[in-house]
Amino acid sequence: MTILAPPAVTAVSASPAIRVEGLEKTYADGTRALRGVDLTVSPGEGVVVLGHNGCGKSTLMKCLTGIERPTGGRILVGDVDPAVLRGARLRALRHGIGCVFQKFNLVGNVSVLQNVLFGALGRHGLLACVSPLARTPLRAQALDALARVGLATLAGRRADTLSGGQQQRVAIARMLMQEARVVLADEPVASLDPKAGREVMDLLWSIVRERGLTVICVLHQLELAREYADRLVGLAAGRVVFDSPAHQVTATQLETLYAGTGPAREAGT
Amino acid sequence: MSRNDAAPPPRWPRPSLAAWLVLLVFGALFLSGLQRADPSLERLGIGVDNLAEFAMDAVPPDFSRWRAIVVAMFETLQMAIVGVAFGVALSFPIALLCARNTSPHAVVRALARMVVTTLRTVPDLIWALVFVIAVGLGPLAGILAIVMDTIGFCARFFSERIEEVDPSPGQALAATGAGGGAVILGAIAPACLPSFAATSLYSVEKAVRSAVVLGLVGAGGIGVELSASMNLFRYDQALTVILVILLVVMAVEQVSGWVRQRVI
Repeated sequence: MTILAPPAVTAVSASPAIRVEGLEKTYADGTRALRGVDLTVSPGEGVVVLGHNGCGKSTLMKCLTGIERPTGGRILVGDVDPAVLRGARLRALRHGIGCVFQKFNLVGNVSVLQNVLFGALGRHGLLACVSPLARTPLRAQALDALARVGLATLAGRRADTLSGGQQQRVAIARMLMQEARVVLADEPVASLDPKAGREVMDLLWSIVRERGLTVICVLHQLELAREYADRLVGLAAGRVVFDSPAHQVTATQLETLYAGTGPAREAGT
Repeated sequence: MSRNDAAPPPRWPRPSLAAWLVLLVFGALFLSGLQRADPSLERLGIGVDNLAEFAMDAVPPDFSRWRAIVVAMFETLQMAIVGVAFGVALSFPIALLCARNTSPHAVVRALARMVVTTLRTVPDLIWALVFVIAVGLGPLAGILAIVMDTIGFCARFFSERIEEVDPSPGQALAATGAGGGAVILGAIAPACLPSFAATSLYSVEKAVRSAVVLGLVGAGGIGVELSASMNLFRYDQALTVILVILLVVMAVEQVSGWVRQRVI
């Protein structure tokens, strides 16, 4: 299976989209961020990863995109291990993984449309993705992506003039432009107010569902996590402490996960 | 309210030994420099007399050679613009090699920084002398000198700005599968553009001023006119040249200030 294969629209098939086996990551300063993480995500499945700050969530996401190299264990995204890839092959893998970041990570002083076109960089290269030079079908695709996130009218605006919620929508449109099969969202609503956060989660999950994308999402908002996820995975000190369907995760498990780190944020608080 | 037993920080932090040493060296250099200049009241008095004599010879300015002076000033402007254009264009790739976050290797970075430091350390007048020897008298020597000076100046400021850029948009582009070049041109360059524009415009101002001086060593432009007038003791013509320079430099500063405001 490759991550660029046609979608299996919302159906959860047997062949995993992501498989993580015994993943270890120890940084150069001796910090052990991941200690034998096992995780399997089926195509079309939505998994939310929970855990307090420093528990290894972001390191796990970085390992999945090949930004960080694991020091042990194995990852398979589709049938490819990002840890062994370099250069063009790693870029090809990344092109199939859409990322949504906490701080949106848009290029602030270029247009919204240009930011969305950047989603196609991996497929078409820079020249083809520069807004004035981009071919009509590519521009049309970018405008469609913007229309899907409800921002078609703001295509010409500078990205840094938009609100946080709007910027995250642009980031989602950029991810759509990527035509990725796997979405990694690292605290996508952490920088937003509760209302905007919920709107962004509604949008992200509706897109994920309609296209049958596989998603791993890091969240701190327990209410949102329970509401949207198929499965909840709890990480503590680099280990998976629970991995269950969302409705089976108990309040005690969540309290234990966040024990000693202050109360976890409930959406709307 | 809990009682604060901690001693308050000193009102004036005690300077370190290194700070004292720097102060001492600075003071010694200042005093020895002052002594070497020998600024006696007598000499300053003679200087004022000489200046008055110069002013009497220079006023009123002689505009009879205005055509030649305007042509030379135009040549100076052209030298500055062509030199800065090439200098800025070359500064960008060199700055990428100098910046910690875009340089392909530490050795490449060290070499690139060394080149830029050398270019910056050598004054533009020395570059002009070198290029007059290399390509002969005229504007080409001046343009080459301005190119070198602009690289030394712009590449340093460009690379510092590149290092300050928020890495997040670049990481997002890299996460889409973009290559290094696309990340630089798609995320880093747009973020740096306002600062690059401001630095480049300042370079134009700087180049116009230095192009005037470069003419004094035969590197073309209005400096040749100024030098000739001074050598022939035609201070009235020299004053015309100085007034034209003043006018053009002020105009360039105004235009660049206006453009800078628009870009930033």
